[in-house]
Amino acid sequence: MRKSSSITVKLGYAGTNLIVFLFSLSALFPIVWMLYSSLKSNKEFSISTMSLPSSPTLENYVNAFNIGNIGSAIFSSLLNTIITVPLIILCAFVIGYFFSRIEFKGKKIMMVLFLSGMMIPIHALLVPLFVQFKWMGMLDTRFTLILPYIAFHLPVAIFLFDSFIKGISREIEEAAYMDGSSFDYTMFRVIFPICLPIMSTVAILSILGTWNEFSFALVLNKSSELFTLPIWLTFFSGQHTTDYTGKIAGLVLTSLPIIVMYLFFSNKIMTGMTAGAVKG
Amino acid sequence: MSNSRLFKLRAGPAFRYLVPIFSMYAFTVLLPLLISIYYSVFNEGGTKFIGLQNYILLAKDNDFWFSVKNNIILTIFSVLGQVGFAFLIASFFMTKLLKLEGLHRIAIFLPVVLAPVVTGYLWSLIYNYRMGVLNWLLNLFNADPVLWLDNPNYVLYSVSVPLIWQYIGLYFIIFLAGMQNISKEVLEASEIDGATWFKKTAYVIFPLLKNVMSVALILCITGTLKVFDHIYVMTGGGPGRSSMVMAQYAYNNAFTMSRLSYGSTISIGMLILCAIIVLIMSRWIGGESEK
Amino acid sequence: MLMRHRKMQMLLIILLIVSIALIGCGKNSSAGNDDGKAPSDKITLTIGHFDIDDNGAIFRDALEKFRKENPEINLVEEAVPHDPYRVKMTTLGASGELPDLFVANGSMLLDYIPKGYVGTFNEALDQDAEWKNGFLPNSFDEFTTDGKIYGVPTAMFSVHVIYYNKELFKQAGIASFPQTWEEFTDAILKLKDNGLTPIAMGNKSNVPVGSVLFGTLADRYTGTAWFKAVKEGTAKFTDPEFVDSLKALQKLAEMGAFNPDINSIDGDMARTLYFNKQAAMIVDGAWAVTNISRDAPEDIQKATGLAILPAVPGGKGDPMSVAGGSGWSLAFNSELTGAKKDAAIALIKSVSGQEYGRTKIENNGQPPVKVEEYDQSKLSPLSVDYFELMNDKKFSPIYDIQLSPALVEVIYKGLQDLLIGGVTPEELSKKIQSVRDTMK
Repeated sequence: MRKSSSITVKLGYAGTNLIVFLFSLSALFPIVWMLYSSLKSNKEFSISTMSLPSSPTLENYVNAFNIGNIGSAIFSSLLNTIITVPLIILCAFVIGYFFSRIEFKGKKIMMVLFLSGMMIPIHALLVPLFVQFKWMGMLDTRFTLILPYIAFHLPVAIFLFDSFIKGISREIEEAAYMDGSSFDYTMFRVIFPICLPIMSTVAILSILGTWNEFSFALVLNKSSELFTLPIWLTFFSGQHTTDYTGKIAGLVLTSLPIIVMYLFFSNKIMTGMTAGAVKG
Repeated sequence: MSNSRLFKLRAGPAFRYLVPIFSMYAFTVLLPLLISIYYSVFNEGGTKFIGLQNYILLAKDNDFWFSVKNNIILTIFSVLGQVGFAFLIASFFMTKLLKLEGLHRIAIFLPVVLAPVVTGYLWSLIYNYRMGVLNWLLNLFNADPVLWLDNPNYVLYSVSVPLIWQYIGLYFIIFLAGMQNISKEVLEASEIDGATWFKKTAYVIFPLLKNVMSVALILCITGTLKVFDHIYVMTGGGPGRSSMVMAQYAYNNAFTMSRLSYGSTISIGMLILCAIIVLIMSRWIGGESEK
Repeated sequence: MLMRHRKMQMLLIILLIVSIALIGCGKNSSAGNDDGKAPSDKITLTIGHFDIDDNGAIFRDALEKFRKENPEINLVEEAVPHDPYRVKMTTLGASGELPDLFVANGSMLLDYIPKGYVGTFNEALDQDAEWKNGFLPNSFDEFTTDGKIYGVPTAMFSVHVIYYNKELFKQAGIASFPQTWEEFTDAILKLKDNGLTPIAMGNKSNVPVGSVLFGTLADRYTGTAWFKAVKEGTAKFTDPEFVDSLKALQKLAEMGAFNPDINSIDGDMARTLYFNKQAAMIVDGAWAVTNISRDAPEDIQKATGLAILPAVPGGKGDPMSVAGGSGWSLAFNSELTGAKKDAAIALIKSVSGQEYGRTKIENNGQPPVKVEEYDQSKLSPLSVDYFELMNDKKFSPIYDIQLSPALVEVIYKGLQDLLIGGVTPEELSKKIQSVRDTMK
């Protein structure tokens, strides 16, 4: 340690902490504001937007539970997410593995087709997909949304897996083959666990995408028991046009499950992303 | 050499895995895309083949190019704001000076989990002229309230802030993960050499994170070029066309103006433009790293 | 080890959330639309609409009543808010998968009719003279093509009414509502000097200014004959009278007649400004009579007067006309036959007949039928004022109903641009005409 740097270190210490603290605050504040505003009455909100609720009320939430089937909306969103995300990870891993490791005919074209999916504006597919699904009789079922949700998230997930697996040393597989393990075993039991860090990223992106998707959930399903949370939210705000805090409570209700899930798993996600570190 | 032969020999299972996944993808994404192209070469209502007429119209469409310009501005902001800031903040986490790392990590990532629609609505309240948080702050300093979403001169900047706010956390976590995978010896060696934070970040960490950086850039660029939900909720592209983006323009044409064929044309045009931009970007990144 | 631990946790969380969800389901299922599975001999009718807010309560109640009276019909509502409804109907319309019954406006019908998706009402109307003759004159105009009637109107009203606060006008030294354009602009300046927002509007969706204000303003300058000529292609949007109307709107914006955040708030927020006495006027459709009668504070209700835009200097239009008509209709899927079709017609009758009209008018609505007898005392004073105001008025075309959606979007988005000074009246008129030229 150099002596001259002790002041700089102290300054750096204060500066770094201050900057990051302010930064965290700005990230956190709007969400905290949303949470406590939902406990206010509409009148109190319009008088002073910023103050903490003087007499917190759950009225907005009580109203929310009376409108539409929020229970079944949460259930639908959850079911979609639980079925979709593992399948996205599995499919994307397989494709990513093939792209980064194995030569086969038509690989280039296939890569272009998969990766260009990252750039397709989703609304362009809305009408055609509806027409297709109608023709196949696949509309309005519990599992209608699964296929599109998997397919839409594949491109980004494949892109992430592909670039991650490229960084893994081939010696690992060589060794596995030497030990006589099969292709499937090597892929799923040797390489797959190493991909844990990127898996967390893919999982986060696909959970969020599935949980929050609106347009396809609106158009492909019509039965009210299949509505997902984002659809419920439009109902809710459609009925609370002048009620700011009521609307905010609706926002909180759609976000809360996923916020809670994140808070619960945040450490796991982080360790997941950094664990099994492969030294490039 | 022997490596590639080994992998080639074992390519047999390709069909077992690739074919089902690819056909699912083709059915749900590629086929609709083809139908979309089909729509775009027919007139509205789909009764007459009109060839590339719509595309010629698109090339001359002032409003489309205006929204392309907006998209590019937003993308530049997002690259600087999301990827740039995220990298900076992540590098602070490598200084070992930081207290409460865990809490900061949670806070910075939290906005990522919100639905874009929620973010959009939340920020339109923050921007609200009469009771928004920002004008409340300005009022504290006796400054005049600002028309954040009404003034065409800065509405585009206003809508870019929530975009950056929401996604910084994602790139932050990606960079942090990348940085923690850098071997300890390399970092310690640079510290022993007396490298400052800046030198360590610029000459040691940054080059080692080239790959992560290019992944982040591609994600950010493709994401921002097709941004829709935030804009739709906050301004709908308005006032007038001042915050119009390509996806919103395509949406308006297809669903508000009942011009499905022209809306499809815009979407295809968008896809082509995005592909060109990403291609240029990856060439550029690729070229850099080869040097 | 670690993996197993994580799996267990995940499982627990999932169980927890699912059980919460199930509790929620159980609680609400009794209030749901469809009580259990329908027996196979039941007729299932689906109806698409967007009347989910307070103003739609009467409509929803009528559907509920129909359900009770016709237990053999299983009526399934496919209701979403207006904006998602339009997206949904566009998508469904692209493949003919429309609900059995649906709410549609003139331009939606124009999209569906050539594809043969919509059934006609001529036969049913002819069979039931009482029903047919109950409607107000011209109320079918927007849903009729070549003598075939494709929709039954759900309301008939003026989309342009100026609601003004008489007290605030007095305080600003304005004795009565201005009768000439000059007095009108003078009043605006006076109100502004008194620290008020002269006119509050919420134009975020870019429809209100165009539909509620500009349609009538433009008619003052151009006259209805010009509009018909434009539709036929013999007049142009670049004609001086239309440009003049754009200029008039621009002048209003420049003199600060509107709330500065006009383009970022919606109509409900604008109404709140009026309720809080921050704004002296709102321009809104007749439906706001319902809203104000229900939601406004007592003193505001008492102080509110109704008016329309005064005549403009040199205008070709009739100063006694307002943009109005029957914007939305109920239509039925052309695939319906037999008992299902009869059920559909019966349902439509139940929400367009005398009884429904009476309920509507007594709740300060504007039904499309001549209501023979109703309890006048149930009407709010504002509602009475409205019918009085309309006594000597004529309807001029509503732009967003008569013109194609593409043209409407260009005009209305352009008006937003005009309000913020992003485009000049001349440029805008050229742009509108260029879009008009691309159509046949």
